[in-house]
Amino acid sequence: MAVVALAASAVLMVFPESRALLQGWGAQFFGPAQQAITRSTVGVGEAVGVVTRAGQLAAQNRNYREEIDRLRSLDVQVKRLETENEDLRQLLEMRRRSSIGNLVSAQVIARDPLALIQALVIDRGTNDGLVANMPVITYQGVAGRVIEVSPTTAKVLLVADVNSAVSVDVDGADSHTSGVVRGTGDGRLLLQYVPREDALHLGDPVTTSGIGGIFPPGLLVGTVDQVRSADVGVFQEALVQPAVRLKDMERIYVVLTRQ
Amino acid sequence: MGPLNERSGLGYQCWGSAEQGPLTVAWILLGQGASVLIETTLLWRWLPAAAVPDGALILTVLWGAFRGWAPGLIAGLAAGLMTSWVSAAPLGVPLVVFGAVGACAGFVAAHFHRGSPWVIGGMMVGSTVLAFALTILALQAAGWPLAVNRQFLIELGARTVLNTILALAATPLVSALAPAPGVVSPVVGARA
Repeated sequence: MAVVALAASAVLMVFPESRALLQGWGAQFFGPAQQAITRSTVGVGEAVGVVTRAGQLAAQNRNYREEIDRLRSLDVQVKRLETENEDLRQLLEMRRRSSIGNLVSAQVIARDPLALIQALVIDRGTNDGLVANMPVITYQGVAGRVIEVSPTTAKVLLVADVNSAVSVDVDGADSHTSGVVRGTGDGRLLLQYVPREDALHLGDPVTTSGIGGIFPPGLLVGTVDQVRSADVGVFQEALVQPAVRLKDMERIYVVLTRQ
Repeated sequence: MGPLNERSGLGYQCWGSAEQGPLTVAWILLGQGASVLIETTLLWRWLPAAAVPDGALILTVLWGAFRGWAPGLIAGLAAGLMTSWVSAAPLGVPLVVFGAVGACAGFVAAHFHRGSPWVIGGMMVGSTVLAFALTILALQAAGWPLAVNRQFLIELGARTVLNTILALAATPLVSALAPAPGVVSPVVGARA
């Protein structure tokens, strides 16, 4: 058998045509097989690569999620800072207009649990220089006054509470009058003791007069919303829409007046 | 709490003990404190005032109903004290209101089957209205002008419904953790 094979090899060496023919047959057989094996190997290799990189991808995914969370939190902080910045800009404008003193910024931390009382608790107290009867404002206008102070917190009676009373001026386009604004308990304010002969118009701004010594003059309290003028009596009344959105307040400013 | 329980039947009744189930007044006070904090710091931001339940009042009434007037009074005074820490109302107002409601709950419940949903529901309605009425009277007595308007009445109605639903939901739990008050009387009687 070995001799036959050796003889065949010798024949193939002597006759190159037959060698080329045999090589062609071999190529035709092995070519597709090689391609199939190579392709399947590439697929398996990719699969093995994915499996080995799965842990790495998961870690990468986790990092991306953390990054997204961080960016979202940053976005919230930026918006909060923008709001605070706007507040401060408006307050600066307000300070130019009226003669208010130094301000202490405070965060609203709680609301009065009793339904009949419109008050809230802020995170500043005597440690920050607060004392009772200091005015509390936002850039929109008057919010209330401090009524009780502890070292780290203070209770603020809102201007909408029935116990709150502020001496005010009402300056229309061609009129000027004064009165007292009290809370009604339902979120609006009642302007009282306005002489009947004085003109009141819807939308007239109501500002603090400074009488009483608690609120500095010129702070916006609200705008006239509805005039109630009776046929008899010395005075007329009006409902006033508060300038400050009392329900949504989160950051307020205490005016450090001299007591 | 131990020596007090040994000396006095009333103390035993007020503070609770292992025989009366795992729910003691300490847990009630903790619940009242948490309730006051959550209501005043979180809920008012998310919900309209009428939709904020009065957790401290609910716990006071339930404790009074299941334990009697003295425990109800103690739980009420504690709730009143905690409320006054965050309220602008004069200190005495919440104390009087919650204390009276807790004691009343105990007195009234003594005449009925305490664990009955009808009794608890009725008591919660009555207690919420009583608490509002007493708040008005106490604030006026303290020199606070008040405005009882439509918004106030809506708030009263909504809170009454909400408090009643929550009290009814909590009744099975309180009943399981603080068994029927009938267990207390013989012990008190035995001491006497």
